[in-house]
Amino acid sequence: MAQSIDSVSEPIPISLVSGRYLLFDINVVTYLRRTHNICGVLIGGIPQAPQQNVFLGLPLELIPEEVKLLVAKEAAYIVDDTAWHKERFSTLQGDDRRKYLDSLRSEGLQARKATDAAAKEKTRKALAKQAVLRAHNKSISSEKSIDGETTAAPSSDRVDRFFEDASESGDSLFNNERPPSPEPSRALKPYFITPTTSYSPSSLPENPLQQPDPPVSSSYPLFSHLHSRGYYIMPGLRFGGDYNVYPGDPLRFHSHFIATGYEWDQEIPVLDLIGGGRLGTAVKKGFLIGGKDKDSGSEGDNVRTFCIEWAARKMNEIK
Amino acid sequence: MADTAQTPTIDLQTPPAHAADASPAPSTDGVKTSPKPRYNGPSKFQQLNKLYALPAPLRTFPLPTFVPHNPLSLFHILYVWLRQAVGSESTHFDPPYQGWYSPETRSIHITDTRSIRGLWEQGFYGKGSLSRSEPSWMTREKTRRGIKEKATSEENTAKRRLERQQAKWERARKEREAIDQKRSEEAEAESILGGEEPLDEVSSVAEVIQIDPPLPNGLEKTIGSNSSNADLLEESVTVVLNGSAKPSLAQPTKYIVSPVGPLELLSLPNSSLDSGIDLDGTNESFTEPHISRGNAVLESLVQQELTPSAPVGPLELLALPNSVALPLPLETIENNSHLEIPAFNERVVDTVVVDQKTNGNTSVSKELLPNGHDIVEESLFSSDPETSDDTNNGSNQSDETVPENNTPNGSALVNPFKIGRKRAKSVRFSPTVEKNTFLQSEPPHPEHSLVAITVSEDPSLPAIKDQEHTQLTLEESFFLSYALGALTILSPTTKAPIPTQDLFNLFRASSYFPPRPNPALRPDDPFMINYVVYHHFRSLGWVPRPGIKFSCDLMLYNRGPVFDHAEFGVIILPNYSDAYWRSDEFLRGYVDGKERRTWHWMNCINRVITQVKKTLILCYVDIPAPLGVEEEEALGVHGILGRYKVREVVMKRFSANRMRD
Repeated sequence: MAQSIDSVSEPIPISLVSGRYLLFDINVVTYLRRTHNICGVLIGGIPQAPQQNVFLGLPLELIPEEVKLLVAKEAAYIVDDTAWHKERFSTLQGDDRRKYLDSLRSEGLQARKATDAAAKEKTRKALAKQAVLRAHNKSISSEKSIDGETTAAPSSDRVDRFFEDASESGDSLFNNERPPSPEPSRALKPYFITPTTSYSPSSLPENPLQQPDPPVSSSYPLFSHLHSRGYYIMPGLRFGGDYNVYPGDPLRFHSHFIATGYEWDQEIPVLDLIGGGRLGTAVKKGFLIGGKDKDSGSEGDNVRTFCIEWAARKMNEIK
Repeated sequence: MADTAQTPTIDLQTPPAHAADASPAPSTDGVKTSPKPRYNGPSKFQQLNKLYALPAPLRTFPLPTFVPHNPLSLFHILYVWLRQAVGSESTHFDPPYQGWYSPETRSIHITDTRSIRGLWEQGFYGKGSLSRSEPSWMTREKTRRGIKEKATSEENTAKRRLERQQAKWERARKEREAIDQKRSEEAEAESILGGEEPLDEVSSVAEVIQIDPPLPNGLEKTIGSNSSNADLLEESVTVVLNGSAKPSLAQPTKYIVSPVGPLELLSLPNSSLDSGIDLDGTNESFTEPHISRGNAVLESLVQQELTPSAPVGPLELLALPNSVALPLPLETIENNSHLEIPAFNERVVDTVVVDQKTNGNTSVSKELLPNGHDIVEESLFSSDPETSDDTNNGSNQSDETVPENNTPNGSALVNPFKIGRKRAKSVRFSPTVEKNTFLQSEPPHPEHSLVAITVSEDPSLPAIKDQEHTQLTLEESFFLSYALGALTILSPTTKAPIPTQDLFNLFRASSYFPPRPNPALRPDDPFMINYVVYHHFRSLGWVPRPGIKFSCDLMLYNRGPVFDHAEFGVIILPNYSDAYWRSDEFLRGYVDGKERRTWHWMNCINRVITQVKKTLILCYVDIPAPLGVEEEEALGVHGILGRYKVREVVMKRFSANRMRD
């Protein structure tokens, strides 16, 4: 896995499908999480457990702020999937077409080989384990049955030997005893691959066109400010804020802040501050508001943040 | 939550000294007969219903009921009706309550005591400027200065918070102790077992038991029978090993961590019985190391659970014979002039009233007060929340479940049905309870409470100037003055009452910040929208109060804050449904800005509201098209208000996963 992450090279293509920014490659997802603190949200159903939505799988959706940040860092670029499909895939002809199909087939073949190898390994291990067990049983029984040797012993011996042979000599035993199974031919047959993107990775341009920045909400300055300080940021709808801010990887930490961005001159209703502060304190987080001072000419991102906490008024503490 | 967590700790925490103090007090009476039935005063709800009998600052004059088979009742009705027709008593209190408009705070200030009490008790209007809701600064100040009064709700809350914090400390300490004990046990077991065999404990136990011949059969049996229980086994194992290896290692300290801090000291077993047992155990262990130590330890373990706790908490005290027994001499009741209705409860109230009012009069109060009652009350009340932090006595601990409610003078009687389910709201009553013998036809009078307050003032004490006033929101005060006519609002500049139409415009203008000039008023003034909703709910019988602390516009109480918690939180949303608001580009932008809310906002509010166990109501107000100044004047306040419509939507989050059961 680690090697495959290393194989990820920047800039990373981010697919734009009907307004969503999606990633389909698990290596890319891991890479972004590890090196850029970008988590995103998994939105795909898991084929093995389709009737639940607690645990989800690929693809990974990125919020526009994350995409804008990555694009600004030149770590990624946006690929409009529809446009690219129309431009490249529908006009795929001759050699290119064959190459593409070949690439799919080779991918399927690789997957098949990997599966087969894994299955074989599993079988081998199981057989070896069984053989060890049998050998152990045999030694015990031989110790015990000094006086009463029964008819069962030879048969079990034979079975043991059978399995020991199997574990040692591997396939040869099966090939000798059984008629040739369809396995060899099946091993050659590749899996059928459903491509997640309608273009091969190699066909993407090395130097992408300059794309317009994704439209982001007004709280982007707060997002980039927090991100630059090393925070991990997840969407904050669950707690009624713009972002949930984590001090480290969300898998390891609870979030520390519920962050909401405001414009510098925006009027903030008091009820919103009260609600946010109350909610934040109730879930043991800080309610963090922040905005960018556009007038200030100093360097840096000019974002200022404030943390609001709901504190009960302590009466009778006069004494 | 905190109650249930705390109640078990009472027995452990009680210092022995206090127990010794408290228990003899009731027994001095020497009457050891069966406990008398508890004092049967007016229940909390009778008191509340009486004090807050009027839902609005108006009086009503219902006719007596007509009983068909009693022709005399017809005459009664006729008589009352005639008297009302001729006498024409006013439904309004005369003079009406008074308030001052305060442009700085954009609210109405009520400064005289009669209006403050009247408006609070008749519909729960206003908020004390120095209090959470009910103006109770004076009471708190008196408490602070040591002139003991009844607890206010703020004090109860503070006390509750303190207790909860303390309970958490206690819990943490216990966990810590358990961990420490476990560790020391493990270390001990390791140090002893470590040298002998590296095998697991069970086998070594078996060996030790086999090796050790002088072990009695009984102990072996207990070990055998308990072998399923790992903890017990471990304990008894260590005991056995101790005995066999080194008799000098007798360790009662293994079960009681050396008491260093005040909390640990307090958690020590408090009766002399306990310590005696421990001492016995150690003494015996020197003579017969094997049997007796094991027994002693087991015994002490059992004893710690079974020690009879001394009656220290208020509940136990009250359950003791004769502490609450209230021998009511019938003569005093007969002497009482108010005896008109022979219901038992009311008689009791009467006597209590006499007792309170004539506190200096010794002859009456001596007869009425049972012996020991004063002492009990003192022991219950004298501990402040602050001191309880240090002294940590039992009465304070258990105050949470039973605050000073069981005292017979009915200061704050708790409803017995409510204790378990829901925290009963703490309520401050007027210091004296009114006579309860009022005629059905005669409405309760607001001046009662005022009189009561003045009576209860003690002239010998230095007078405290009441620095608190009540603040009414603009909506509340306009409802009182326009819809009910019970409040006169005076202008601070002219010192004259403001007429309704001017008041209406003034409030609308000052609901903006900075205030707008009159001609620029719009149909979606914050005051207009809020008032429409306020009026709507008030006229449906709800008690709306400002809900800013729950980040909503109004909280709806079923009857009032003293009776119950608020059931609903109302968010007021303007709805520009009129065609006018869609007519041009600018207006559309304006309306979009006003109506726009995000899902984040919705989620936040809903979480806050459901967290405090209330239901969120979105209240939409249909905003009509604006009118010119002349048109508005022609319509008047009635006409303008009549153009608004209110719709309510109850919001509830439904999650298919979690709401199944």
